[in-house]
Amino acid sequence: MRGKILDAVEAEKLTKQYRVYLRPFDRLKEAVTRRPFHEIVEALNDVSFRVTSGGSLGIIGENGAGKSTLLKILAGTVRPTSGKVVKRGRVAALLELGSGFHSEFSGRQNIYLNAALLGLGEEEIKEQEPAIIRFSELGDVIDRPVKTYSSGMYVRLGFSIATSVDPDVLIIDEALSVGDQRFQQKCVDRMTKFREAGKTIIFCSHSMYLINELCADTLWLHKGGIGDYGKTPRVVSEYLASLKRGAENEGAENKAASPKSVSLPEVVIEDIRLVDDKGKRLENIRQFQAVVVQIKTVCTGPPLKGHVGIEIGQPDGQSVFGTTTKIAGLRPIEFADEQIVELVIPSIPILGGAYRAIVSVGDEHALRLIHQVSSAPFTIESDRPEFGMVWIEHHWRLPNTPRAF
Amino acid sequence: MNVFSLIRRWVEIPFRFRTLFWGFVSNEIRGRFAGSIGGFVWSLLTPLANLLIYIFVFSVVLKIRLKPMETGTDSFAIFFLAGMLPWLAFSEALNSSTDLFLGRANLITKVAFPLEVLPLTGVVVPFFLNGLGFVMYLCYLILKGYAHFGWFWLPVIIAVHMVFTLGLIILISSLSVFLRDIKQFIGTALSLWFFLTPIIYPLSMVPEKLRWAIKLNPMYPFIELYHQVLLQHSVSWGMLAYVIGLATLVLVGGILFFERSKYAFADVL
Repeated sequence: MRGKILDAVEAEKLTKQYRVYLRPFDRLKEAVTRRPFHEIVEALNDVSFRVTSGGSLGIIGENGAGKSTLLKILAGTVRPTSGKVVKRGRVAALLELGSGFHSEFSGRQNIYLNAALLGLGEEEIKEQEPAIIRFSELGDVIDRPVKTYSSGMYVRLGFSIATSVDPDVLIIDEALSVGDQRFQQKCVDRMTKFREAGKTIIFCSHSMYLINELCADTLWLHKGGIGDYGKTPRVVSEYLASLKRGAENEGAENKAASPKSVSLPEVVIEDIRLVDDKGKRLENIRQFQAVVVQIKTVCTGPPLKGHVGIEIGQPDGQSVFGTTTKIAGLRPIEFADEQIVELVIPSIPILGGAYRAIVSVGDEHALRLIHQVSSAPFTIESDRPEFGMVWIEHHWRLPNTPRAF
Repeated sequence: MNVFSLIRRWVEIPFRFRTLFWGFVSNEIRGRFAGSIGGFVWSLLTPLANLLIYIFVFSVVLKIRLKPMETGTDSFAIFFLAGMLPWLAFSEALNSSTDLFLGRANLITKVAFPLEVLPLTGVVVPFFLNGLGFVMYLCYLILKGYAHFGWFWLPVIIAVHMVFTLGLIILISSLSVFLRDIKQFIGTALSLWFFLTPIIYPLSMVPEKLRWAIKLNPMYPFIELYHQVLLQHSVSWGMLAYVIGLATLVLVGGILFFERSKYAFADVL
């Protein structure tokens, strides 16, 4: 026995194989003849990790990497082929918000069965009901059948019920992807509170932003196995780098083929270039020169509205100047296919030194970060001797010169 | 786990998961009526119309005559309903059993909860809904002077019948997950089974050479016991022991099959 804090969730060498039958008849043939008529598909292969009590684990990976299978095993609906999971405390899993809702029943009636499914007793449900309704903000429509709800309302009710169970371990799958920004923020806040209260969170998402925000550790699943596992910032950047490599390789191999369903961000910043006002690529920038930052974006999915932001700073992170298309009062950009957004700086007032530009794409409310890339470092040359970061328009007035006051 | 602890688990489920179990039962019952204007009325009118058609065809058109010596009544309607009402509960339970797990694929793969509540709900709901009609039928019998102390055996028979039904629907609902064809086949099987059970005719009308075959039908002793206890005020102890044995056997078989296959549900669904 090691004298350490008990882990809330321990997963040891989890492997899951599914038998796939090409036709339903094959299953019967196999049962009768006892000869195998299936193919084995390995959804998960030798995955181990542990989440300490009060810890938080993010799960990321491409579609089909085994995330759902892993979550189902953690939730207890699917049994691993080999390996084992130990969970301590009450576990609430939200693999799909609102699964088990009866569409003809009112929101209030659905609270009862759904909370009971998650393991609440009648007394507890009665006690929690007002809080659930309050959090979901569905007070006006709670007695209407849920079939009249929008998908966002559905999710709000589901999330409110699941988190009201007050679990020790909360397992959430992409639950926040629906619902408006404000409610998403509310959910994130509630999950943060959970974490602060010493509860354990396992969170699976395609949003690297949310993973960064909520999870201390991250597990990257790659083709059923572990791609990387450790502190979130490292794993996420490894993962994004691998996605980018994958996309490049694919592009090199077969340019005509449509991109496979890799879970890239919806909009990818593919390239950042600094050019002069004639479009010529700049190697070195001279102070007060015209500079155009060209941002090449690729929309990986359906067209999407969003904003672009840029921040020029020093390599140590000290920011010099930042702005976004939203701050500038522009309408959201409609991202589709490949596009170029340019930031034109007629005269760059930055003093000499090394800098880099961090470019980000956010959603149309400029709340959710979709993709962020840092440009290669560039230097600004200046023959002027002033010091600091920015050249500020100025002139001196000396004693003995006429003055207004 | 041995068989006894498995059975105990099933018995305990409605108590240990009280809220969940009654939640499912009340949802199921209310779900029948939700969304339709007539609601509760339809659940009475539809079977009533069916029963009246049967009574009209067999009693008025085909003129089935009963011998009170054998059946305890000379009214076809009274004889018919004594067997038909329990049959309706039974066949309704079986009919919907194919969807118990299959129809909730989404729930079963996404939420971990004791699956046992589903077959239990599947028995309780049809017996409860048809129980309403059965109570009205009993009132009618009382008015007609059929009431008797022997009726105290009725709850025992209903309980055994429910256990038998539970065993069967555990089996069918689990099997349907792997063999979806059962769903298509169950309706036909039930209507055949209905006509091979002495409900719209007394056993005495079946040619003597074929009676043994009818007696092999596992529903025959149940229906016969309902007839005996309601109309003839006697219970055949041998038959009661037989159905208790039968119900136990089916229940154990169903539970064992469920235990062996339940972990594969989420994989297949």
